[in-house]
Amino acid sequence: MTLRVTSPSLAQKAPGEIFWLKEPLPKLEASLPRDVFAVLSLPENDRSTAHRETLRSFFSSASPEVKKAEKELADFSASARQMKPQTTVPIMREMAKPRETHIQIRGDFLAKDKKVTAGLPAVFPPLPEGEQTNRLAMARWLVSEENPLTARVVANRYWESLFGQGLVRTSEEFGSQGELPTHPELLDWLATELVRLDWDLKALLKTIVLSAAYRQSSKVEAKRAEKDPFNELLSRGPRQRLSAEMVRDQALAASGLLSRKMYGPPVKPPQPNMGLKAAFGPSLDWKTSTGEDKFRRGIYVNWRRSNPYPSMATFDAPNRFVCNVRRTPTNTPLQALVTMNDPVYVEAAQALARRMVKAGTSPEEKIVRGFRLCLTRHPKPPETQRLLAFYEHVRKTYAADANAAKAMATDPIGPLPAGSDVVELASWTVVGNVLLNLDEVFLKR
Amino acid sequence: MKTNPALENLLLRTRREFLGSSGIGLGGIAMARLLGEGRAKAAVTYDPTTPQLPRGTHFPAKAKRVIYLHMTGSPPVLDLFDYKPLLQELNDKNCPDEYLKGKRFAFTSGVPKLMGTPHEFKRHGSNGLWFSDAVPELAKLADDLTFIKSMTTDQFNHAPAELLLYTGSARAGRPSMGSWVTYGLGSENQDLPGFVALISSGVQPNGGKNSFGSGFLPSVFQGVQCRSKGDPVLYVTNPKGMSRDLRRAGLDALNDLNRIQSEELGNAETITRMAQYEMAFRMQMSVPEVMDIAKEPKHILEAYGAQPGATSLANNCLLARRLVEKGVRFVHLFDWGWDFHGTNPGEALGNGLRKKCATMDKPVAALIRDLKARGLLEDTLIVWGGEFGRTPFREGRTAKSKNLGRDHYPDVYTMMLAGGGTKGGFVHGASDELGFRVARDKVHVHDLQATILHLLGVDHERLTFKFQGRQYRLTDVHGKVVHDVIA
Repeated sequence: MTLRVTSPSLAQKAPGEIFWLKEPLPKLEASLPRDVFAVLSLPENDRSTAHRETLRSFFSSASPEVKKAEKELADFSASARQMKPQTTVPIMREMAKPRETHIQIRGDFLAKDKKVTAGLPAVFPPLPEGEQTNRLAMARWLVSEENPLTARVVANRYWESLFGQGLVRTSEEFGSQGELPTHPELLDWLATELVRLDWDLKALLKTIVLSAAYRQSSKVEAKRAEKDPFNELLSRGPRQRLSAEMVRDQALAASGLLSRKMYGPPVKPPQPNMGLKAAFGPSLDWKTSTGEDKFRRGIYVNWRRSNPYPSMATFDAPNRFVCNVRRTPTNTPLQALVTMNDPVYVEAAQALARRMVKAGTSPEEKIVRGFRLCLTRHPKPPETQRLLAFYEHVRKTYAADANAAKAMATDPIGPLPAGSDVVELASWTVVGNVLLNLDEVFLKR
Repeated sequence: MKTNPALENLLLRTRREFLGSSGIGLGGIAMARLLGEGRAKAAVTYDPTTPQLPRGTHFPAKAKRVIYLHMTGSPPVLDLFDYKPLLQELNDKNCPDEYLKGKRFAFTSGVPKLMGTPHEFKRHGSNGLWFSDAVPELAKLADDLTFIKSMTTDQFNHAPAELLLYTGSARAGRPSMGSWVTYGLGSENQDLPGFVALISSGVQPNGGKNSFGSGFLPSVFQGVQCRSKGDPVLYVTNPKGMSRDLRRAGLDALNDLNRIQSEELGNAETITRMAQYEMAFRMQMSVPEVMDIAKEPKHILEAYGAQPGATSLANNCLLARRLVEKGVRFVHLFDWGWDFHGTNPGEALGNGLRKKCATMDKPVAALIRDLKARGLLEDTLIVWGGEFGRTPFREGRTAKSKNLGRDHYPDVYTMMLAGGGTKGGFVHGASDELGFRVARDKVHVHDLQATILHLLGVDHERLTFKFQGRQYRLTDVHGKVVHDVIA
């Protein structure tokens, strides 16, 4: 008879290195407490719960590491029990008996045509022989090596997010209604790289951003532009407007207001009161979140599909009713109104001003600071001169109107910091508002 | 390249227009192309600097602009326009089984009682159109109005019915009627949004912003909600402490800095953005101006029953006139409170309906008269109605109460049109004797959409937008123009 005993030193081993001891019985008897040995002598099926507990506690008492791990487990279990769910997450399960599915003529669920079953389009490699047609099989098939499509689609989406347009322009549609890739070999190479890199998206991104194509200047030279108006030949670097969420996050980041807090329920940044109720629902107005929640990243902003956050809808955030892979960027006067006048952006300009005034003593130094915060570059001399002239003009205006200066410097951000000059802060706020509205600010290039 | 989705077209157009050129005024010169020339389902082409510049039509338009009056919740047309003497006779009798079999209603089960209207009906106008005493002012305009009494829809709950009517699909996500129209036609005024939504009675439409949203069309075509309180358009007001002069000075600095950058990098889109800021600056002036009804003479305010500073359908009717007068293409009004179930005295057919109608009848009639007096009615289409009809029987929940109410009913109902090339003094189609079924000339909501586009000079089958591999249109795969209502 051979007993199989897990080693007491098991906790010191890395996972996967668990091994089994094979010891002669008498030697084992001598080294174990009697009750433990008695339990071990029983055939495994005859052991009671109490017997098993005896064994377990003996082996764990023999190992401080196991004890420590057990305590951690107990602590985590206790805190898990105390957690209250913030939301429910629907999950899907295969039905024991699959539902009958019919073609619905013109999408009408009452106009049923012939019965259909799950399967794959014939152009694709089939599921492995004997595999059930369920979601798990589908998941495996999606990333199987025989299926080139998934990796191409993924690689193309990341290319699109970096270059503004995919190698396949219709990133949502790789079928017969979509466009052909501009660089099919490149797309295939990226796709095979993605698989070779074990689907590591960071590695894929690194590969793309280190490419010469990505790193070249986005400057548009007239001659090249004529030959390559769409940049299909990648004759220049990418240049694209930031997404709605990024436009807001960036203004908050440049001004130093952005909260980097992660996770948790959605937040409610300032939104104008409309005095309207939802149909058969409560008021659409909300109470603005307080503290840093007011300045959380755009992805945490509360999203009500029938009433999306207005400034983001203006910057082309989709309504989220239909899947939207690719946003169509627009350039409209309503966007200009948002970044000029939305209290969120006014507050950002005020906070930016409070950062700028701390830089050096001369206005030039403050301009450099503002420029670097908004554009991550130094201003060119004509830019500094233009802003300086503007600053002087604004200063004169506010010197003559203390009330306007106070409003501009403090509403909505709050009272002036001790010892600060209201005219100064109001003037830099207006300059900051200009900086945050520069075309270059909205672009990734 | 294969087919050009709209975006590529835009990009092509911009770059061609702007490369090697400079100056803000350029966008204004850019041509506006006829939409979808020939029978091909080509995308609409336009210059993204001036996406709202008027574009040509497929064929000569009868209507240049639309005022759509949505009575959110669906008014009981059997008590307003669609008179049923037999229903009066059979009042309180059990509803015949043939009308109930296989049907589901929102709030009624079992065998409900037929219900005649508590309102008096009379014939009006030279063609003897029927009106109830709840709408005395509209009755006086009988010769200007066209009724479609054979409307039908697929949906019997508010949100899906409203979405079907305004986006062509009962599921949210598609572009709305006004956004299709401004995408197809642009607008006559570049300093105001081409598509404006006005909401009264305190509640959003059932479809939320989707009822006037742009769906997957570029967001520049979404309906812009204008208000008579607060910012007339969101963020149109400068921050506190910033004068218009200072804003101008700031924009001058901004333009100079953008120009320095664009001269170095040669990007045409920088110039596009500068043009948008200039338009925003003009909007800061033009929007508050057009939204300020206090400038209207007293007799006009009185005719509409409008009061500066209030939020009401009356104010919105007057605003609609001011907006279309300035060339706004599509003005969509939503007035909450027409869901006459009889669940409370305000939503009961007798006095409740009379009171609610008093807030609608007078301003809508005033709007039609005012447009006519200004010579605008002939090319401004007015559409009035709800998202579905209401049952010829008493609603189940309120059957025993004092308040008379009707349930939701999709199979047949009435809508009203005026101006914009419609006949006037005319009725198209009819419901059956009890108001349960279409008796002749059925008009589905997709047909209404096709007809509205047709009056605007647009072929509903050729106004398309490619999204996710498919050409979409307002009428989906349906829609027949109702030529009978066109003068």
